[in-house]
Amino acid sequence: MVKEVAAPIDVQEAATPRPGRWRRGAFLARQHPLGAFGLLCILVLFGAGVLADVVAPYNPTEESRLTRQVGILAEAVSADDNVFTIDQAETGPGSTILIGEEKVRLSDFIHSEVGDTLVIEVVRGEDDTVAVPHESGEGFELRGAVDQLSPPSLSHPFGTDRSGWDVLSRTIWGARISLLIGLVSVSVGISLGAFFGVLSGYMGGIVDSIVQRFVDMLLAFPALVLLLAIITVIGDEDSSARKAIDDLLSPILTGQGTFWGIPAFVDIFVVSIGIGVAVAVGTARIIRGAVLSLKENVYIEAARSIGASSPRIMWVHIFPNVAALVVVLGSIFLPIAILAESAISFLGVGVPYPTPSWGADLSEQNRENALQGDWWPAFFPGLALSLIVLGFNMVGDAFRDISDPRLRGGQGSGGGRGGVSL
Amino acid sequence: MREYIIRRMLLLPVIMIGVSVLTFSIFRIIPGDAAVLTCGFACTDEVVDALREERGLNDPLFPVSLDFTDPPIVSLQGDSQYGNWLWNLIKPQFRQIVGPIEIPLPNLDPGQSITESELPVEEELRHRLPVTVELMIVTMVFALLLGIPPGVISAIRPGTILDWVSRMSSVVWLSVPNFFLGILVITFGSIWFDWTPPQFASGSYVNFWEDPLTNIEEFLLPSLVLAVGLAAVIMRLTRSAMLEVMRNDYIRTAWSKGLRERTVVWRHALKNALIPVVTVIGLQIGGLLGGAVLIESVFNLNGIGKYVLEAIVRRDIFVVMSMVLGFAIVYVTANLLVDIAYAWLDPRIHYA
Repeated sequence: MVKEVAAPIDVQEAATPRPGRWRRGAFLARQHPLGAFGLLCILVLFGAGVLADVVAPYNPTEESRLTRQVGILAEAVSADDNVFTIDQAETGPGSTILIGEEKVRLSDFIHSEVGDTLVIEVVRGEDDTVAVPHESGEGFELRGAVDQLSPPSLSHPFGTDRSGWDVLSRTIWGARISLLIGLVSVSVGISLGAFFGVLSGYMGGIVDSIVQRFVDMLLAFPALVLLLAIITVIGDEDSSARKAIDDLLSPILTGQGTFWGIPAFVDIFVVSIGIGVAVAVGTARIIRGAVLSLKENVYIEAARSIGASSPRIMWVHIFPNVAALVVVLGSIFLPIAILAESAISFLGVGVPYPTPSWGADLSEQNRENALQGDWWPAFFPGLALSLIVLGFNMVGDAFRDISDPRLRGGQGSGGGRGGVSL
Repeated sequence: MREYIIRRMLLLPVIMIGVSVLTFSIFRIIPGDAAVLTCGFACTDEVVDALREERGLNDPLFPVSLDFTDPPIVSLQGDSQYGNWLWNLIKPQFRQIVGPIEIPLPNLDPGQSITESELPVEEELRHRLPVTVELMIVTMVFALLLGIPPGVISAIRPGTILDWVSRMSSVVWLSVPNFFLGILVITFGSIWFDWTPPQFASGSYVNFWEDPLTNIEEFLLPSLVLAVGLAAVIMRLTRSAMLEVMRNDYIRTAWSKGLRERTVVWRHALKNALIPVVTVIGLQIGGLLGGAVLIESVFNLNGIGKYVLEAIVRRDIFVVMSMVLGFAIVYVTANLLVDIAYAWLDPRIHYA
């Protein structure tokens, strides 16, 4: 009898291919549409911030003019002329133009109108509107007045503010400033906090006591009040701290204190440092807790027994183990830092007005304009601010759902410590 | 339990002294010369010197000084800036902290601000404190009313449209910054309903018992705006705590006894679910104090927060310093009370 041995069949292992990165991403997005929406908000706003010089249609601190060509002067006029002709006139009596340095108003008296040529008499007078002629070939091209407080339109989707600045461009540049302040303050705060947290947790004893009592005292202040105090102190132009920051930053600044296209960078940096200190306080406490349990591990004892120095153990053995926690804390503190900056700037203590910051755009004059019905200069920056915080909250919720299996199965999000707010 | 409370009570003065030293150090040591700071560029050297002498800025900073010789010498000073500042705060008849400033300050509107800065702090506090206190209390009430019931409903009916709506709205309310929400309310209130917030002159706080309507008109919207963010936090927390509690055995027992849903949910489950909520309320008091600064500015309420802000803009370091200390003391005390309430609510917690 021949023993039948099953011939090895050439079986294609029918393992389901591990889904690609994109497919998994798409799956997660379908499972957590709100999280995907939040991520989209963050990406769009920060992307706009990074690419602000490319994306923003106008310069955020340059007056927008009604760029419509309102006519061409048939011939050059001097400042003394008071009768002249305009070809292809779209302008008419009552509007104002500038001849030389002088503002003149087109009078109601039209001498003659032949085809689309307008012969007009001018009246010297005061008016808010300005028209700028500039030389071109045969005559002057007339440009319109400063486009103040014009409601959202096609050329200015978010309208313009009281200075004729394009609100869309300011909102986009505001994203860059928020991003910058968030990154600077969080990196300053996280590194300070991680340093003192690891030091205090690992060294214990007197070092721990001193650091923790200091943290206790700083935690005794409401966050926004602490921030106001710090910024009052280091933000004052006469203070020694402010001067030190000035000196520190001078190498990277160009022109009038400009960095990465942002004017008044020192003010922004000062605000970031203030927020950074507040972030560091919270971080130090949490990191210390993690280090306390970490240092009981055998490998720390082993490192110590072979004679590793304390700084080495902290840097090589402790820090890499809390690095993940540090990154998570950073992502939690980022939207808080952005909110804090806006609150401070809104109160008029943070980033000064001409710099396009979401918080500053909500304050003072824009607020008064809003009260009078011109809501757009304050509304859109505030909306962007709300969206970025919303984005972080939604991503945070989705992340918690994904990482906490107990919440799976339809019970959904909305737990934990309540999310990001100031 | 009793020892815990006594120990915390005894620790409170120590923390307060620490906080006052820190506040003093932040404002007096870091920025350099307070006389120059108050005075700005406009002052000549003589004026600065006179101001410094007048306000005792030539005195030593702390009542205890330490010389790092060998051995270190500790010496006591009779007159010190820190000591005098604190003494002035504590002793009511000396509360005129800003009184000594008589030279006109730069950068301010001479019409009102100078007289305002010459009003003694005590006077200011008397009519500003009730505003902030009422704002806080009404906000807290609104936050609890708007937070707990939706949280409970959302937890006992998970997956329903009601749950979805309250979850969505909570994440939205959580994310809209309160100062922006305030501006939206005022702006669209005036555009759509032709409504403008009532303007109140300094010191015209209307007591609720005297004129309830005006009082409500003054506080309803600011408190609501400040409350929705906190309510969202409370709602989310109540929901997750309720979901956790509803899975417990004793709830199943209550169901199987045939108790009505109302009894199970509101009597058996909610009591335990509220324990973490109390902690979070304690944590949020700091946010509420900061929020008061913002909301008072938005709605033009003359409370403590607006006072601090005005002092910062005026660069009146001494007022800022005192008010910041005040905020910290309120915050620390409130946290202590919440901790005690927490220990009292949850007998399982033992503080050794």
